[in-house]
Amino acid sequence: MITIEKLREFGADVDDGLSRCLNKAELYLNLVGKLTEDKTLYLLEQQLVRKEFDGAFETAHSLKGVYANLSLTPLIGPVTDITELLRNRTNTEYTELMDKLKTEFERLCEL
Amino acid sequence: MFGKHFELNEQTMHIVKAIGRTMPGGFFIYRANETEELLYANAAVISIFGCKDISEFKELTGYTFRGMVHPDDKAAVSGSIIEQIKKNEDNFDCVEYRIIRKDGEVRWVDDYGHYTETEAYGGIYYVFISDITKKHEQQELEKRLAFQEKLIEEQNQREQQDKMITALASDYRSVYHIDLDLNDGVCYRADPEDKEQTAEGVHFPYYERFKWYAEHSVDENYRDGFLEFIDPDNIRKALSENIIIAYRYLAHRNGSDYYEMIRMAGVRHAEDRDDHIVHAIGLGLTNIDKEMRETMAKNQALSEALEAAKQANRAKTAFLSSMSHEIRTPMNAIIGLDSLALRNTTLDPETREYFEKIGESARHLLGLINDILDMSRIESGKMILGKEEFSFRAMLEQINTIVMTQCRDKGLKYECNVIGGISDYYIGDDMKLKQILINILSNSIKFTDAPGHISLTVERTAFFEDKSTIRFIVKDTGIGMDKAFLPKVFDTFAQEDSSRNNKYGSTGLGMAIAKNIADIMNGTISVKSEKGVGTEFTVVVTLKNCERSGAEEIFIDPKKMRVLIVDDEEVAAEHAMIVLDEAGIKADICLDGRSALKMLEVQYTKHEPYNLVLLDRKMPEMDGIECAEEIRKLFRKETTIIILTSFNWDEIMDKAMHIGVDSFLAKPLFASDVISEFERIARKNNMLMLCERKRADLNGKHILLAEDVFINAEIMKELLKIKGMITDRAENGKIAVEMFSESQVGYYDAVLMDVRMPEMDGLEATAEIRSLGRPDAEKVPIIAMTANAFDEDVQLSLQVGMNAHLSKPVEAERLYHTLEELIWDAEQTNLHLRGYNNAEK
Repeated sequence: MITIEKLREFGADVDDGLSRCLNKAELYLNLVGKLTEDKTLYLLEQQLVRKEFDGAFETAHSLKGVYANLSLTPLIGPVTDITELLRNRTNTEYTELMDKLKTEFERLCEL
Repeated sequence: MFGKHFELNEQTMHIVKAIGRTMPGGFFIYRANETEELLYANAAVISIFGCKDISEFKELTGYTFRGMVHPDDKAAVSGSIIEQIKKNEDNFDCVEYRIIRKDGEVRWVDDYGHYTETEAYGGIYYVFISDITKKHEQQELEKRLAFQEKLIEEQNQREQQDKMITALASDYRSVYHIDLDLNDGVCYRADPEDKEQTAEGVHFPYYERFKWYAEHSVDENYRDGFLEFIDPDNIRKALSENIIIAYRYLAHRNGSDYYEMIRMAGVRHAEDRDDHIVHAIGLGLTNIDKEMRETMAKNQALSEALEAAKQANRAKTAFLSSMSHEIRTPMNAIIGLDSLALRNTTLDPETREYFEKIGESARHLLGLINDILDMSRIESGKMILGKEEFSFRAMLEQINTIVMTQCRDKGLKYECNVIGGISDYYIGDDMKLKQILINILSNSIKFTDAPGHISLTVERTAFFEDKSTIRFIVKDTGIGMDKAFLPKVFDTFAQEDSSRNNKYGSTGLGMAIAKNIADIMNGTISVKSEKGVGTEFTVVVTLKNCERSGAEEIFIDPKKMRVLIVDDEEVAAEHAMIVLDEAGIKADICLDGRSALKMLEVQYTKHEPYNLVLLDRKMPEMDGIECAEEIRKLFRKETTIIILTSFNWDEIMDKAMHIGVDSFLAKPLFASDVISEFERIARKNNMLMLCERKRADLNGKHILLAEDVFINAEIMKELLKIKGMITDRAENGKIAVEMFSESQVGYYDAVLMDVRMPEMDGLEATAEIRSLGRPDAEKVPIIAMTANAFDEDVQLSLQVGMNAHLSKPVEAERLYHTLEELIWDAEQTNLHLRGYNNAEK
């Protein structure tokens, strides 16, 4: 079961996230929970594999917003890197960055 | 005599008789009753009456008192005796009357009587009587002589008056004597050249004659006044208040026109004196043509002179006004560039010092110009006193801050004491009051050396229902002034010792200005001084009381101020920005009115509106006032507008205030002025820093949320649910438009539109919704949400018809706030839609 403490341990900026949720811990955890069930991350992966950079950019950008909204700091770093590269439609290997992101995400899901 | 000490009765009577027999003067006693019968009369009495013996006397008089008195005098005598006895405590009386002697001759006697009570005879009078006929005759003679003399005297007087009248009358072309009671007039002195008038000495009916004169010879414009003047009743009334009355008019006689005067004075004869009514008058007609024309010429000259003076004054004002601008403009540039230069951190110390000195000189020079302009404004009566609520405490603080610094720099000790019930707020002109005090305090500082002491004492000396009288005393231990100089201290350009001026010199106007302002305020300034000891200035003013208790101090937090500076001169704008920045206030600049309006709109949409706009007055294309007008149309009262100008703003102030300008400030700008002005206006408008707009209750409201990213949508839904809102989600713009058009009119209270979406983005979707042709589609609040918050994006959203712009990540409070305000606004304009809805059903 996910708790505030576990999130803090995970590396999230819990205080910031809470303030965004009117300091309602239940709401915050609820939202984080919903995120773990979200499949958008894998959509991004696929788009990157298929080199659909336009679509990938949109997806990455959205994910960045979500992670920032919930102050999930460990996730923000990797996704920002990906987003910035995609902004210029850089054709490079994203696998490494994607893996890093996935790792953090899975770590979150295990909380 | 009798009664108390000596009982009069038959036994004692013989003693009386014995005494009375040999008395030279007449003595008798009679009863004080109806008959007044005598009890005794001595020989002298009998002799006075010309009788030989007592029986003849008894026969003559009937041996009663009343029988003794001459019939014509009886009544008067009885009355007089009774009166006198009543008044006199000792019951004495004295009367004079006539008697008829036995031989028929009438003689005068004087009678001294005394009333007393006796047991034997009741009330009695005893009387001493003597014949005073000769004396009486003498008196009569004297009276007649005196009367005759009086008559002669009066006759002489009258003759003299007549002579005087004749002498004076030579000033008049004709003189008349008019008896008002008899309506009779007679000419005393005639005008030899007047053929028509009545001859001297001939009597004529007054009113008719002069009425004829009015119709014949008096110009029609003056005729009614003339007739009114000669009316006898009016004359009597006028002469009861004035000694001489006159009426001037235009006469037409003998073919010529000239100004004439008719003059009247009461002729007071002896008989008339007591009733104070004028019965007769002296009347004169005189030619005043020369005088009249001279006076008219003088008046003409005066009015021409007045006109010339007014013109000169206007020219002076125009000159000063333009001079003010001509001088201030380059001054602003100098001060502005100087402060810009000082911002350069790479300056070497020497150069920095040069720049600082330049700045000092420039500010000093500006001070001089302001003094001169103030003086000229005062002299031409153009200085207007403000009547605003102001914080007395804040004013004192500002004064103290300035003075404290100057004193510290000079090594002087300064203290300020406030005695007695000084309120926090008063109504008056705080800027001018501050000017007076600072002028005096600066003077004190100038003339006091270290170690010296300057004090300001503030005391409320009188308190009325609506006013308070406040006394300020500025005392210093400076070099003092000579007694001889004291009366001149408030004169312009008067300086006792100009060697004291700092190297920059001084206008010598500071004191004169202070005194003049105090005079305009109906206050007083006085000074006491002793050379070598010090000086004491006392200022007394009366301010109106203010109902505000002062509990709510509106402190403006500089960090919360968002200022927009609008000035076509870039240097001026940047200077203003620097000045504000030093006070901790962030400001943006733009160079013309149109840009200003755009920037205001953008910030407003972002819900971070500017709360203060500083507008330069003179700008090409759209000047400050026009811009202010536009701002007021769009943004109502939420933005404070202050106009900055180098010009005099007295003339345009009314118009500007009417348009909605809140205040004026003079360039160059000082941060403290901006803050205090803003505070004052905020207090006046009862404004709170964050515009308190009305909000709606969000509970139960329906929101259409257009958001493609699932997780984001979920977050939004949760947030909206907290406030009880019901959310429908559309995954992209196209679906959003569909959902809206399928909904009932007025169903959705607001739309949250993500901008970046596949298929159809938020901007396009908004455009589509707006053009659906439904009344609610036009007005429903659509809020853009985007990670980008660039101005261009905001402008684009506005163009398609969005109402607000929130940047992601969205802060919950911001979101609620925005929804509340927008839904409230929409509800106000949508009230009529409910009707539409019902009709639809």
